[in-house]
Amino acid sequence: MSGYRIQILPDTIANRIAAGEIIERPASVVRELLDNAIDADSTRIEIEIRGGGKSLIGVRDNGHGIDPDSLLIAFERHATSKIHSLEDLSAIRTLGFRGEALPSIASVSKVAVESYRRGFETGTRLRIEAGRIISVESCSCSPGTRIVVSGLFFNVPVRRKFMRQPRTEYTHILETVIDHALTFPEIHFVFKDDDKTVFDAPAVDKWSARLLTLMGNRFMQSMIPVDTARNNLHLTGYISTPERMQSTARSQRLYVNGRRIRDRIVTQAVYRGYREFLSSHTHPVFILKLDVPPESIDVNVHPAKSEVRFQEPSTIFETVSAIVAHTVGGSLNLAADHARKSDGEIHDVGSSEDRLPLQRPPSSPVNSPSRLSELSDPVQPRFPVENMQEQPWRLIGQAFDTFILFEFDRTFYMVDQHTAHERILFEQLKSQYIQGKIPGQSLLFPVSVELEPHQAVQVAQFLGLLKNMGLGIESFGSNSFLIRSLPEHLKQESPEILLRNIADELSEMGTSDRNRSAERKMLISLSCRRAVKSGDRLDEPSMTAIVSALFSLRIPSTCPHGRPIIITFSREELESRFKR
Amino acid sequence: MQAVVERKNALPLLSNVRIVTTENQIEINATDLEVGIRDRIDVNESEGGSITVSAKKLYEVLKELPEEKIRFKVEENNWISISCGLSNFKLVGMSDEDYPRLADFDDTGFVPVGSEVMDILTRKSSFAVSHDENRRVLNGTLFHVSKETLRMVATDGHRLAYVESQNITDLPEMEIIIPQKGIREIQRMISSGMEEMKFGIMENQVVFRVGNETVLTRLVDGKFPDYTKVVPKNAENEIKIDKDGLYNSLRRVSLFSDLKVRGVKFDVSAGGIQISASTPEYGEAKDRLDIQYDGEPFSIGFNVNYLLDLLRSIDSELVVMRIGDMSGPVVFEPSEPSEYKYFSVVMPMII
Repeated sequence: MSGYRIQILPDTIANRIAAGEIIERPASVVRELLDNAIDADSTRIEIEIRGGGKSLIGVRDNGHGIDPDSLLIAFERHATSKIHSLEDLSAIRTLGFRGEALPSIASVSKVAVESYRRGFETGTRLRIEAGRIISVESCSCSPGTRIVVSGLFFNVPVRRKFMRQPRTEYTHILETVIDHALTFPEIHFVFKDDDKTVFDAPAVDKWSARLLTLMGNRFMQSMIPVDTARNNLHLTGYISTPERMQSTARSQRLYVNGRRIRDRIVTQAVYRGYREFLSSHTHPVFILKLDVPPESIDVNVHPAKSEVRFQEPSTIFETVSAIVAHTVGGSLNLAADHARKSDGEIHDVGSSEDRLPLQRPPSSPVNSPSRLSELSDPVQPRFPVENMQEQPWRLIGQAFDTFILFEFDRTFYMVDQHTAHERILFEQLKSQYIQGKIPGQSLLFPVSVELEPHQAVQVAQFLGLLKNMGLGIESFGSNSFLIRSLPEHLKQESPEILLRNIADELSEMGTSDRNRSAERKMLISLSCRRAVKSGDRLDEPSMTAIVSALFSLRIPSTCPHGRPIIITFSREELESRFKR
Repeated sequence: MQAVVERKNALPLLSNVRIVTTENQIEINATDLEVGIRDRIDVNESEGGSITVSAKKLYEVLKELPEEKIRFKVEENNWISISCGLSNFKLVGMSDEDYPRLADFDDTGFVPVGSEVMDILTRKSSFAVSHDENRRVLNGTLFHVSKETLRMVATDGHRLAYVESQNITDLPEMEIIIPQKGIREIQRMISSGMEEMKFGIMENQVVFRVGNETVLTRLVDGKFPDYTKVVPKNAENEIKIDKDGLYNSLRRVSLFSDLKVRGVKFDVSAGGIQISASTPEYGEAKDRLDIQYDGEPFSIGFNVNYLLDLLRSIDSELVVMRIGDMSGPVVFEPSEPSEYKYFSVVMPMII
């Protein structure tokens, strides 16, 4: 019983815990309240937010509740029922160990708490504003605790201004709630946003079942299960098949001893395990739980508890990468089965034939610059030559299947074939888009795609714009979308991959929901798909087509993502290097 | 044979053909693991043996040889010597040890299938097959036999072709997907002689045989999309157009449709249709045709290539275009029924 009574930490421990910024945004409040609710052995937790958590955050649990005395102490700094001595601090097994959370939240908002602890006569209702107790009264309520935080940062104008659009804050809260819901499948989680139920995930006994509820069927189909214990660590979860790489590092979740962590060592280890399947633009999707003995990590590194320090990082790295490599390797054999033809010979999976045909550049330059300016890049160093058509240029060849080399006007040019082609396609698509709609080809069999919640939010906002780009999409239930038409020039692409790329690209954009930048992102994503890749061997006509398109379109010298397209050496520069 | 050997060289051995000789017969095998071909040729004298050799080189050599008797001999270290008249060649061969073996079988269980039926059905459907390697089930033609009717259906997800032949009594009921490469080999086999074609199915492959030549093709694994769903039930607007007139008009107008996008626009009104296309680079084209239609005017866009493809498969003088929902599928079919029931469905382009 006394184990749960809240005590004031001795100074030694309080000092040991670095004071820090705990509450930086609504999602931090949600995280702290959830940690507390989970530590109270709740079996059902209901989270409710309004206005992206800016106007209200409510968490109700059915845990063991707090008795009247403890409730008052709880709001003093460093009150925590979980740590009694220094030894405890070095073997932290619960989530909300700091005792800073409640006072921190209370000091920057208006908090109302109702809590009832079994065995006590009544429950207690406490109201606090800006850290000051306004009222304490007895009340009758069911066992557990209900905390409502409203007017976050109402007394801290600087912080209030710092908060983003409700949509953005919502996305962060959603991530936090999903983190907890994934970590504790045995707890029933209900999450409501502005009275709408985002998800209702009943208690299940397996992590994978919870994952299925939250992530959807499609998502799980492309994942490989991991469950290996080795060298005193236990790695469980799911990693994507090598075929399902994505273009951003989103959708990577790592939980260390039950807490969502950002950790370079483990992440790098996962990448290392995928090594041979990754290019510089692809990233694996993973949801991994790493369990290590509590005494082998230090969780007290970051006030927001989002980092840990491993005692033996190199062991962790080696072990995790070995497990991932083994798992991916194992699954690859399965994947290769598709390519395994009748006589059991392995057949090369997707090779040079995937190469995209180069498209002839239109012979006239794009539209008047004034209309283009809306979508154009901030920096616009144009390709330097005006009269390319009149003066001959000479193609030298291709280096490393990646760069096109040519000479023109006493200058040696090196062109990155992928970024150049990407830019050409982008400009063409852009001019098409500005001139009117991009034609779309309807599909005989519409394709349904399930996105992750944070992506679905982004995509749903831009259905109208996407339609003008030829991508006809309808919302189809919570996180599902039905693709009805594809842009004509991309109709051979997989509708699903196309949409996922756009979703990735949009979710990278994160906070900004300015339409124009979204438009740009989507056009980039649509043009990128068709571009030749580095490593594609190009024949002479293809190289000529790329270079002439660069000239005729008078293209900016960076790709839409901002990487350079061209590097030049003047004849004089080269001669001086050779000391001529 | 050349068409079948693996060009991508994933497995270098597959760019070779395997040659097996027995007494008085040579057998030649080629395969890319998806489609395999076996041809048996009677010869004068031969000893038993086997070897593999580059299909391309062998073909080039044989093509250049005069019409005389050829001597073919395997020597030490897999060298192959070919002599003919005064010409001598030595080719680098490879052992056939690792060469994939084609399943062997006699004629039991084989049923005859009309070469003409196969010829017409494959020609009328296979143009709609998808070439996108990511969608494997669409890379083949559905071969569906039920109630004495053989149907072939192909689609690339944007258009679909359907053709059927009735009174097919010999074939068992089945629903399989034959990859495009297999279909091409069947067509080639038919074009080289109209002998009777025999059909057999074993596990995951089908076998077509004409005379001494056998084509085996692996079936595409998976479920073909439900084509009955895309045929609109309430396609009430019916337009009859002169088929050749439409074809020629589309060819003219398509000169001005964008090279990549290939869009053409139909402005339909009672009694007439205007077909138009334009590109910013080159200009525009407009054409008019008389049609049999008395409904409300409407406009719709198409990929002109899809229309040209399907019109080549229609034999009647008039083509019927049926439309229900303006953004939904459009059906094209011959105006008069023929021996082969045929229709094609095209999704409109949103221009």
